[in-house]
Amino acid sequence: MAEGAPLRAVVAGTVVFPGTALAVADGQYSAGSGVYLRDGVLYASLAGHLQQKASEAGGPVELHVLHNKVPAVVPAIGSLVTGKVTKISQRVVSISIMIVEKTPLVSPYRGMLRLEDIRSTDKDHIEVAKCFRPNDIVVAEVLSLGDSRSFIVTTAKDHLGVVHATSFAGFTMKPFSAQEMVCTKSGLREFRKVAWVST
Amino acid sequence: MGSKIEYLSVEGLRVDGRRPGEIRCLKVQLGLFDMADGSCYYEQGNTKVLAAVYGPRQVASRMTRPSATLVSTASAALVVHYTEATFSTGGWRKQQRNDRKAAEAGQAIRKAFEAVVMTHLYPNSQIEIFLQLLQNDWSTFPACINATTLALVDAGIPMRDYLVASTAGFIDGTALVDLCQIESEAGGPELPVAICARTQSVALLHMDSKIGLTLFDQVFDAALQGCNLIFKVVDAAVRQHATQLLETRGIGFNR
Repeated sequence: MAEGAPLRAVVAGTVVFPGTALAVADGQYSAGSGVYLRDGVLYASLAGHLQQKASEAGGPVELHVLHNKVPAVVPAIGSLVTGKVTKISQRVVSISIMIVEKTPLVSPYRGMLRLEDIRSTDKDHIEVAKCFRPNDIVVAEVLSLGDSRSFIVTTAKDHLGVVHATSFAGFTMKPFSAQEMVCTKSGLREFRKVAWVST
Repeated sequence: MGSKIEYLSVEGLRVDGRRPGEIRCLKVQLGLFDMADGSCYYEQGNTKVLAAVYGPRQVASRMTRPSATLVSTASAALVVHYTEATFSTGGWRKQQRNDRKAAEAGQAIRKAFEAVVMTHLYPNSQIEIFLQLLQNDWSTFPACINATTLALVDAGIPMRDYLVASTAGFIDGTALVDLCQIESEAGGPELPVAICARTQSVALLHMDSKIGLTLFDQVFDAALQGCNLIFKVVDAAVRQHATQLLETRGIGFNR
């Protein structure tokens, strides 16, 4: 860009590239995904298709760059994740996180569910084997980024917990109550921390 | 003395017929592999490099990741694996287990890209870059940088700017851009430089040979010239690839 040349906002619909100057950040435009701000100017950080998204209440228009690949997601604090239980122990449940919000991941992230985060009531008498079993599909919320080994998640809310499990007989179970699931074929009930939203 | 190589002919042509300010023929192919998040095949004359990017992914366990990886909850770790094929130089070369030079090259590339890749967007993750040198006709380090830039763009990993690199040397009183193997053996200085294409700021500069102060400016300017020429080709390749891909997704443009 020539010094002193007026910066006209790049029209939505054009192809932009990392480092392309898009617009001056004077309140009319703000940075969305694929766009970053430096020295008062908005630049693209991805190679792709520029899009505008008008924000409600007449705020600044958000500029996004749409790349041909699905944007990579990393579980953020507070995001809803879906995963499969890989291992249980007396204090910790290991989860392989496969979906973040609504985006399936290319390769799974490791999540760790601690005993005290399984449920919010009666924390002294939690038995992990009565809440989760290996291969259960679980919906949880990310508590913290943890360390390099795994993210720390929680199921201490009503809508979090097991959403799908297989019974000892080998058949799918469906939720029976907040603490139990029932096998669809044999009718036997098993204890789980169920994602139970009472209607 | 035996036959002396004429590095710069009377007409001002180099050993491969180029002018002093010309880079070699570039060939770029993006998106080769489906399994990798981003990939690029890059040819700079006879130097051929393959780059593949995997990420952002979960950080590899301590046993499998390089010891220099900086794992942090604030940003993604960049991991660069650089290997040279055993057939890359003339004749078969034994694959070394702990190749010091390759490890060093990998670290240098990692440091250069930490300046442009927006790693703060992916905490607790790693972005793994695999570079395989298939044929070595000198200027391998700049070729790897350029191939990595293209692979990262293909992977959709946000970057502040394009990182482009080139070597420059000084033989027979003239600054030469983009040295080839024969020219590297002339005994003159060599300066690989990597810059951010739009801001023209230097991201990495290797000073392995002695260059006099008066010569340095000339050689550095030649390297910058080489970088900008390479950027033109890299930019055109990305434009073509991106436009093609977006069109296959049904997103047309007002051209």
